[in-house]
Order: sequence, then C-alpha cells, then structure tokens
Amino acid sequence: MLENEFDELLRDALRNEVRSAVGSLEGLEARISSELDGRLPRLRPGDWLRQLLAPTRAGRIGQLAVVTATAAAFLVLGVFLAHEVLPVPGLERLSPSLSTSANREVLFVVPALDAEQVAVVGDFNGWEATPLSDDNHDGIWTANIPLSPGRYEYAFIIDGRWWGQDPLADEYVSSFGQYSSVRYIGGGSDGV
Amino acid sequence: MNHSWKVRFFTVLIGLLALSASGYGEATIDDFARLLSSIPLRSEDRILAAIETGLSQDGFPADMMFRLTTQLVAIQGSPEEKEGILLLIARTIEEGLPAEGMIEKGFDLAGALGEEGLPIEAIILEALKGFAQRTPLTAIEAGISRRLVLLRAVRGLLFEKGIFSLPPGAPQTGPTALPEERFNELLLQISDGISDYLDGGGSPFEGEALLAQVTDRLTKLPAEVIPKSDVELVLDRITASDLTRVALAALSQPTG
Repeated sequence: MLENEFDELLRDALRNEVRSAVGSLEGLEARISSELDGRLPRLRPGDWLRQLLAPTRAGRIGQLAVVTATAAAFLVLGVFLAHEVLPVPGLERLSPSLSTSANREVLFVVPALDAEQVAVVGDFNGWEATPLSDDNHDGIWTANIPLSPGRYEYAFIIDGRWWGQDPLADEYVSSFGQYSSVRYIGGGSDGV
Repeated sequence: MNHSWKVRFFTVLIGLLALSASGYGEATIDDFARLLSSIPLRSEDRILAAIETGLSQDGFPADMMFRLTTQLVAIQGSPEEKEGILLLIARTIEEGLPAEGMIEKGFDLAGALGEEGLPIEAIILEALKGFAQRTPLTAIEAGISRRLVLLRAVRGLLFEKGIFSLPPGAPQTGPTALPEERFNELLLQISDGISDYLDGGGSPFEGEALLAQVTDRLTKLPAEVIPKSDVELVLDRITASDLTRVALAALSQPTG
C-alpha cells in the first residue's frame, strides 16, 4: 500500500468519527445550563446582601470584609461630596465668604499682558500702591493681601492707568467720575 | 486727669509756650516734631517731611498748620483718624498743591472727630482715593464737606428713629441703645452708602433705589462688622422717604 493511500484512509476514518460525535455535542451548553439550574438555588432581590452578611465557615471574615467594603464606599462617597460641595484651597482664596477667619490672605489678580508695572490701591492700604507680581511672565499679575472682615474698595493701577472694574469684585462704585471695585470679606453674607 | 491727658496737656502747653516765645506763625519743624511725638503715628517721618517741604514754601500757612496739629494732639479720637487728617495735608503738599484749603478741612474733620465723636475714617479714605485718582483738589475738598454734612444728617436720622449710642463702658439697656462702636459703624455705613449712591449719579428723589442700595450694603456686610440684629433694627425703622430727606439736606448745604 502506498503511503498516499494510507493517509487518505486515515483522514476518512477521522472524518467519520467527527461526524458521528457532532450530534452528541449539539445542545451541550443548553443541557449543562438546564442541569445547573436545577441544582443551584435562585437568588432573589436582596439575597446577595443576606448572603454577604451570613457568617462563613471561616468565622467572621466575611462580615469583616463587608464592613470594610461599606466603610470604603462611604469614604469614597465622602471624598466625592467634599470635592463637589466644599471649596478647594485655591478657590477659597478667591471667595472670601467661604471663611470666617479674622484675618485672611485675599488674592488680587489681574491680567495685563504687556504691562510693566501693576499695583493695587484701596481702603486697605490708604489708596497707596501695593505692587502686584508676575513672576512667570505670563501676563497674570497677582498679590496676596491679608484683610480682616469688612467691605473694601479698590482698583488696579496698570502702567499708571486706573482700572477699577475687576471681574472678581462683588460690586462697583463710582466716585470722582471713575469706577472702583468692591469686595466683601468674611462672614457668610457677602455677594461672591 | 489720667496719665495720657497729662502728657497731652503738657505737650500742648510746651508747644504753645515755644510758639509764643518765638513769635506766633514761626513754628519750626522741630516744634511740629515735638507735638507729633505724642501721637503714635505710623508715618511720622512722611508727615514731618511733607510739613518741612510746606514750611520751605512761600505762602504755606505754618501757623494754621501748627494750630491744627496742636488741636489734633489735644482732642479725643483714634490715632489712626488723627493720622488720616495729617496724611490728607501731607498728600496735598506732596502733590505740590496749595495746602490752605485742606488744612481748613482738617479743622472741620478734627472738630467732627473730637467734639462730635463722629467716625471720619470713611471720609478720609474717600479723600485719599481722590488723590489716587488725581481728582482736582477742589473736588476732593468739596467731597469732604459733603460727606461730613451727610454724616451729621444720618446721625440725626438715627436719633430721630430712637437709635442711640451708649457712652463707652455703659451697659446696654435696650435694643436701640447701641455700644458706641456699633452705632458708629451703622452711621458710617449708611452715610457712606448714601454718598456712594449720590456720587454714582443716583437721584435723591428715587428714595426706593437709595434705600435698596443702603439695604444691599448693610446686608452684605459680615456679622463681624455689623451684627445682623443692628441691621434689622435700622432697616425696620428707616424708610425711603427718610433717606431722600437726608440726601436732599446734605445736597442743599453749601460745601465750600
């Protein structure tokens, strides 16, 4: 017998074996599922919780795990709420109403791209210039000034020009024909 | 007579004796320095430098300035407010402007502070703002006068509404008798609110708008500055027509 003839006979035999087995494999997944359904109890709503809370053979480890998981969930929820509801430190400095401390740093910020000198004048410095700085040269000039609770009028002086309408102000007043900005510092009653 | 009053009395006495010995109107910078040393000033050097500049100029009313300084040493009132008056004059001299008008306003402010016990801080700050804005001196001086008139008118209104100031240390006997500090804060804020409204071009005849502005200002102030009960007390008692009356009274008075 030639080697080729032998190979062909072998392939035919294998093909026949597979054909005969396919019938028994059809519906195998459905049969397994059906069998398992009959053996495993069905879970109702809430059963997952009762199951989790039930003592396990390993003592109270399961309960401990549940308590830990619950605490972690509340922690995550708390962190999320704190982030959404409470101020982040950077914003707090822009919103005087969010703190009631007696004396706090208040951020004054003004964009002045091509300016060489920027200062703030106001009730808090006797309307004498307090310089703002732009250390990274991005055109945003800032100064932190400690202020006690109260109402403060102020304006920026940009290269010698009066600039009295700060977008971060609570309101504006006009006197001697020019506007000044107003911020209310402290308490919970300001108009930030 | 307590210790501080003794110091003030002898300082003023020595100042006057020194002046009378050398002839009135010839006060030197050392005379001013001696007088001012009895007031705790934060910017004493600056004020003295300005006075020295003034003394070197023709037409500077040295005698007037010395009398004002003497008065400031003698009167009751906070050192900050006294310094504020001196700073207004210093700013005038620094700007190279004639100081006589501002020294006259200094007498008005000193009288309001010492004899009437009025809180003049907001008036001084408004005038300093005028300097920062390079406002004409006459406008700054007129602003001082008008705000002083308004301050007195608002105090009269509060009295009329039964809201009083207690002497320092006196116990509060009722809700309308306020400690001096709280009364003065109310007075200052209402008066300044009306002034800002008028300066901003608001009409005194639009009483509701005027009342809305004053109400807005008082309610926005933190409780650390004005207790909410004081704000409610005032807002319960004053009306739009009250404020119109006060504003008109202030506007109708000469401010020169």
